[in-house]
Amino acid sequence: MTADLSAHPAFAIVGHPNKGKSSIVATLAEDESVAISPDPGTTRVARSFRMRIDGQVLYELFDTPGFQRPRAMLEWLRQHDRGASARPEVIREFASAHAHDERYTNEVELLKPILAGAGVLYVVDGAHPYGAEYEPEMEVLRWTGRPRMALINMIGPGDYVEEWRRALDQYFSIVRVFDAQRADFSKRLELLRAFRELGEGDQRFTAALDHAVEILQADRRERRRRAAAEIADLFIDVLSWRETAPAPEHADQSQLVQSLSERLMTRVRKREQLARRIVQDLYHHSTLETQEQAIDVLADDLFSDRSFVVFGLSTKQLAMTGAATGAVAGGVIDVAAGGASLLLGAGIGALLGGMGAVFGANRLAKVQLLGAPMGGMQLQVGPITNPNFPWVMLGRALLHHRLVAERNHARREALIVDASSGTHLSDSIESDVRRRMARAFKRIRDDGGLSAADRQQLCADIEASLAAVTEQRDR
Amino acid sequence: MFVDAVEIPAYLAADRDTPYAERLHRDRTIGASLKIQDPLRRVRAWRAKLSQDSAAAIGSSLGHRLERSRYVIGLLMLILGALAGAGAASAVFHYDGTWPVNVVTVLAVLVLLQVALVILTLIVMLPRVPGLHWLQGLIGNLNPGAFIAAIYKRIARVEAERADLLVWPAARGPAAARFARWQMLAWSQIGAIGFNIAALATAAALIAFTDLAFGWSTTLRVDASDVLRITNALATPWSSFWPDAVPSAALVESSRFFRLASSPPPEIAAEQLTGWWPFLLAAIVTYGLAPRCVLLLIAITRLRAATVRLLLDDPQVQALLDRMSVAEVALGADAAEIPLRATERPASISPADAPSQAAAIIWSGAIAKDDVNAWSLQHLRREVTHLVEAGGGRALEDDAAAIRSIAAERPRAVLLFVRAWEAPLLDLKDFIESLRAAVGAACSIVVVPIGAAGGTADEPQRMTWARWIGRIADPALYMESGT
Repeated sequence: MTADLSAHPAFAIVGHPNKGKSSIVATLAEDESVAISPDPGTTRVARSFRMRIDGQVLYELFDTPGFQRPRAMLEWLRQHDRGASARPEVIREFASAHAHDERYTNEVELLKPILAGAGVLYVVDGAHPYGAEYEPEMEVLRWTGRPRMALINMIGPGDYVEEWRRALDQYFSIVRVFDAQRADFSKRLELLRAFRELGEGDQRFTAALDHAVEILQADRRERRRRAAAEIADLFIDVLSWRETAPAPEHADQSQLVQSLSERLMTRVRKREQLARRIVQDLYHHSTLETQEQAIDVLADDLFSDRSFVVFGLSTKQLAMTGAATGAVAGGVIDVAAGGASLLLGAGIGALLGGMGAVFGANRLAKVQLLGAPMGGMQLQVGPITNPNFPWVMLGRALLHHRLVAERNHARREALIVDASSGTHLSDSIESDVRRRMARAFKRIRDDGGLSAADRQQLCADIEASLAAVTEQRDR
Repeated sequence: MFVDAVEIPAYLAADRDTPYAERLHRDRTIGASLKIQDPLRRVRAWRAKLSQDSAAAIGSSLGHRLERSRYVIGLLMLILGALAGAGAASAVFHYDGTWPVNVVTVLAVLVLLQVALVILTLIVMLPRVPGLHWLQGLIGNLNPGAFIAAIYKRIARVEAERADLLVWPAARGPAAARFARWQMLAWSQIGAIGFNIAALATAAALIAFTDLAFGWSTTLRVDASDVLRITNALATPWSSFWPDAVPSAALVESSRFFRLASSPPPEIAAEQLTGWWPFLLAAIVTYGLAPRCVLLLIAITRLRAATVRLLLDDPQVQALLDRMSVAEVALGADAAEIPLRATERPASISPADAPSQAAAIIWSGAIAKDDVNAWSLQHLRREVTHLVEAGGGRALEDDAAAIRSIAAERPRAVLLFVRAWEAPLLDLKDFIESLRAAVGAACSIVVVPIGAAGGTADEPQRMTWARWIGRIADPALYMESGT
């Protein structure tokens, strides 16, 4: 594991137990599987997290166990001190002498990556007061002779950053504040850039980290593009689905319609869950679950009134979007008539589209009684024609994506969303994009899917919406 | 190709339950190992590689079943077309020795009707035309290929959702509808070719093995010159290389008959009455068989392209190509973390008869020395009789001195004030064990976690310390955090 760390930048994250070492690793490595616990000793062996692109390692992080007996260790080191120049060698001797000593398991384990060439990232908690008990471990790290950076993590509401800075400045050339629980993507990149200072002027080291930052930025865009494609495919599936069943002559049709509607809705709910899971997977939040609480709008049923109120378009927006879509359809007639219709087609199309959108808002799906190919009748429920439904689903998807994309991997609590965070998401979508989307939704319902080109366009529009929603939050 | 177009998307749809990172790694590894750039070949190579690497090869019975269905429907169309062709030819070439075979009927059934059907086929073949869409839909619904496929699907109980590929009106989505349309057209051309070949064979057999007499008769006011113009026009394609198959003016003139006459025209020579058949066979080949062969060729070509699009336009396949092409960025650990199995034995609190006086140790500056007695009286209702400091930045020898100082007092209880927000270290455990050895087993050692601002510890801090103290398993080691 720690055989050769000269090929790429490597950093050992060390410190007192429970000061957020694992949180920092979880955040930087986007690994929600990192055990984060209030109990000391959760991390027992140095664990490697490598950033790779197609197998090529750009940098490597090591999550290490915390110091457990730093004073005893420092005492041993002082007893064997042969002068400042030999101190790194004394550290190596300590690791070698205690390789099988259970008393120093943690110390030996945390020294492994450092002795293999990793830079030192020392983590402390800036939300709690400084204490002299940290000095032995900081002194030990100084003895290693490796480049060192201190990271002040914030575990809690207190603020003792300045007190910590004064102490850390005596042992570390670089001191940074990094809130592992709340750091967003830009903060992570900022920290990675700061790691360059540990390279001590090594151009390869700097280039590797710069490259890593570029790759992470590109990967971020790639994830958003893939999430948009997943959401587009959710629409293609859900808006094209139909449920059919034989409808014998004397059967209770209203009951049959209800049962088919339920079947359709169950299928849609499952599909939405699948899309959410894939979006979470994209952002490495596989185990994240939305907590089923009353305030959690994402846990609300997709077909609930509240989902429609929170995420749907207002009556005015619906009418406007419907009218615009209808006008385009009517415009085709005007073009065919060579202008002789005096734009009557577009006018009537807009009127019908607008009215259809408003008055169709109370019905969920189309119900049809069809003749079967070899006799008999079939009842068909679907596709879902409610004009507001796609916007409800889009609003939920936009909010879910935003929360997942922004979520930090060090956080372990369930995703809880305030109802107000979902409102007006549709407002952030440009009207042109909204109109194009409305046309795509209609095409899916009519044709049962989209052509490759139309799907690409829908993906691009959803991607733009995802970006707009994130920017809306940033404003 | 068709089997791939059905099975790969079906496999990928089910594969969505596999964690994304796993799929990304698998597909990117295969993608990076392939030198080919063509998307179709990449997808098929991916399938081959996956089948080779994995025990669970892609493939369900559905793709093969649908493929078999396509061949069966094609064969059915050929047989039904041939039966219809043979029947039609037998009917229009029927001759019982009384009235000659009417050339007009033969042309109407085997040429004009077929030309009309070819035109309808061409309308369905056109891309979606605004205004003509309903007509295209109507013709498609009446197409024998769609009809036979729907019946076969019902009888053979091909119920899977992808079976809609066999029935154009049922196919959902542009790629599926395009495929189903060309499939339907290919089947109907096979049926039409079967029809024409059987009609030609039946006619040729009747001509060869029976004696047929031909004439022309119509109620319309058409004279021989009009008919000659029509036959010449119809014969244009072959007149240059098969002049014998072009009816002469004399033949046309002499072969008209009226059924009102009591008997067929006796003055016409029998040889003359048989002179029409080369023209009729050439007309069936030219206007029936040849266009259908061309249309079949077009339908098969377009069907192949539609099959490729059916595969490549599938959203899951697009996502697969994307995963295969874009570099994989991995950030996490190579190996899963081994879970810690900590024993859950919380610390005990001091017994009710605990002494009201105790010695005390401040560990690592947990509380200011001057505040200890007041804090202890307020929160623990105990008076501190002797106080020392240990831990923190002190040397281990200083800790040992502090322990000796406490032991000298022979206390019944020792309070050990610690910083509640700090994780308990083995360094402290070593100290407690040394203290225990010095004060004896009967002395209560009470760990007291103190909050950051000199208050009491909060619940999570208490829980962390309680679990840690519980794991030390010292029967006289307690924890109190004050009230």
